[in-house]
Amino acid sequence: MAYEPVVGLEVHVQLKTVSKMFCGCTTEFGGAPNSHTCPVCLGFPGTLPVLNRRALVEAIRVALAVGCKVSDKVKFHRKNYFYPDLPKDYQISQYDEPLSENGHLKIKTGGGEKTIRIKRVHMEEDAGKLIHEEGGDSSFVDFNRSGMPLLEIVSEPDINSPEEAYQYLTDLKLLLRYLDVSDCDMEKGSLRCDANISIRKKGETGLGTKAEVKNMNSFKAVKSALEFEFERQSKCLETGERIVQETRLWNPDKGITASMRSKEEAHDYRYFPEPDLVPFTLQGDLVDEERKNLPELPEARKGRFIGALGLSGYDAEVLVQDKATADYFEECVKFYNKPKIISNWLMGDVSAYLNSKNLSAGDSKLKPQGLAGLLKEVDSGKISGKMAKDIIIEMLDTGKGAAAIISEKGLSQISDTGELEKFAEETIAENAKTAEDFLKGKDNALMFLVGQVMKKTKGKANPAVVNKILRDKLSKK
Amino acid sequence: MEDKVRYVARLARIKLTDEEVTLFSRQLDGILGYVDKLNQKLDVQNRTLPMSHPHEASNSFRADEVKPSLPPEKALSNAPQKKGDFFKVPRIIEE
Repeated sequence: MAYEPVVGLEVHVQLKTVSKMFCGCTTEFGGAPNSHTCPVCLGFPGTLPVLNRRALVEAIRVALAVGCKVSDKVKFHRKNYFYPDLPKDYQISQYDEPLSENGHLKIKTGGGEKTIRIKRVHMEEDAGKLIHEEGGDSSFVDFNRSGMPLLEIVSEPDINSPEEAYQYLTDLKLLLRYLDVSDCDMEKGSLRCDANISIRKKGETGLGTKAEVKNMNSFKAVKSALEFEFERQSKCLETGERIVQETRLWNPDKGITASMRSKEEAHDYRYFPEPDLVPFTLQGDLVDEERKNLPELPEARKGRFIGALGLSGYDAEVLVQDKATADYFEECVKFYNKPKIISNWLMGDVSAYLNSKNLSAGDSKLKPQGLAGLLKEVDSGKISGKMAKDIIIEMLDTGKGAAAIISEKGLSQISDTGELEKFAEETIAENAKTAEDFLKGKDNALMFLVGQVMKKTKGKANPAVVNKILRDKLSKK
Repeated sequence: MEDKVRYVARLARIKLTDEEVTLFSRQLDGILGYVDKLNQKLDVQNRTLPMSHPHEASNSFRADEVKPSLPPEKALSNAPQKKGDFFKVPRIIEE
């Protein structure tokens, strides 16, 4: 029997603000425990939350970018449950009137483009962090993360393979990076993902009983956990075992998901409107303004790289995948109008260097204008492409300009015919047999002679000029 | 009603004696019965939107600015139990 997985993803993204969602505590990562807390985010009685406008604006940007309808009226609710990382015993979240609903994200799959519907994008606050004492009977709470602004992005169950889940997350993360609303750093917890997965016979349209999988801390882990869960549920159906609705935790060390032994009682969050926050009316200006301010998104940018700048689909795709690289590329085009050549250097030597040092294009010592300068030196014939490959490493190391390195090291290419003619004559004399071969019609022989001249000049000769001189001299023989 | 009272009490972690359950059930029945008069006498289905806030204010924001936090020792000063700069609670772990 052929089954297919049916997956919906819930992604939590920490918004990029300097202060928390409802108070002025810093959102900086990694402070001493409980050093970024105040009466509001510690949930002291009598304190009042006030919404961070920046967080709302960023949330609206994301909602618009995934094509959601932003509500005219936004309300917050209290989601009630007891857990020691939740100081108020309720989380301020959204319920029946969320920020936005009914969007979609187009993802690239092996079979072409696929649209994953997005059910809703809503705002909520984060909880604190629990640390469990090894072997002991206590847990420790750090509330620095309590009250951080989060966005929850919930997809419809439109994802039908672990690969599609991986791609959805990759494309969503790229979009969030372009919108500049989150660091999207899974290690720091600023992007988290839970998955709902059920399976069904291929061709059916109903939904089976789902399991909720948590504790996946990378996109690869999401993919692996879904692969495991698909296998597990398939086996259940084949052996006639009932699939139960439950929460399962991914164990990265064992590569399995395991049922989270939890209270039998289903969660009853008793949502009710948060009386401490007045409703927000988003008609008109705020949403329209953000719609106008949306940056060019990855798909549009890719189209422009292909259409207006003449890049191949592949090059455009690779460049757009990293915003810093794409920005770098565009900046460089301003100084040197040969996009294809820039793209080759960026995707080749420059990214190889930056990757080896774990740097982003934005951190590169070699600036876009510097790269343009180097490529102009190649065009002018002052240096060869091969020399440029050495020079660029020094530029990346030191940030020095191409012209400075060329003159410092006496690297300029010899294009002076007089000087090169001398070397050419010597070479022909020393390799009489090869010269003869060429005259008999062996074209390869010329390449050997060019190579010999290059050697004599320590690689500084302009190969095109050497080629021409050798041909002239040999034909006169 | 008694089942509901026990259920809500459990969710709210409130311990009630049987006598209290009986008492609160009777009282809550009375209160809910009184409010239910709205359903009998008024047609609110189409005319009145649910009200979540009593006043008309809206869009009360703050700018995204960092304000000083409490020093950890002050943040922890009301904690029944602490360890270093952490609040200490009974071990909670779901496996």
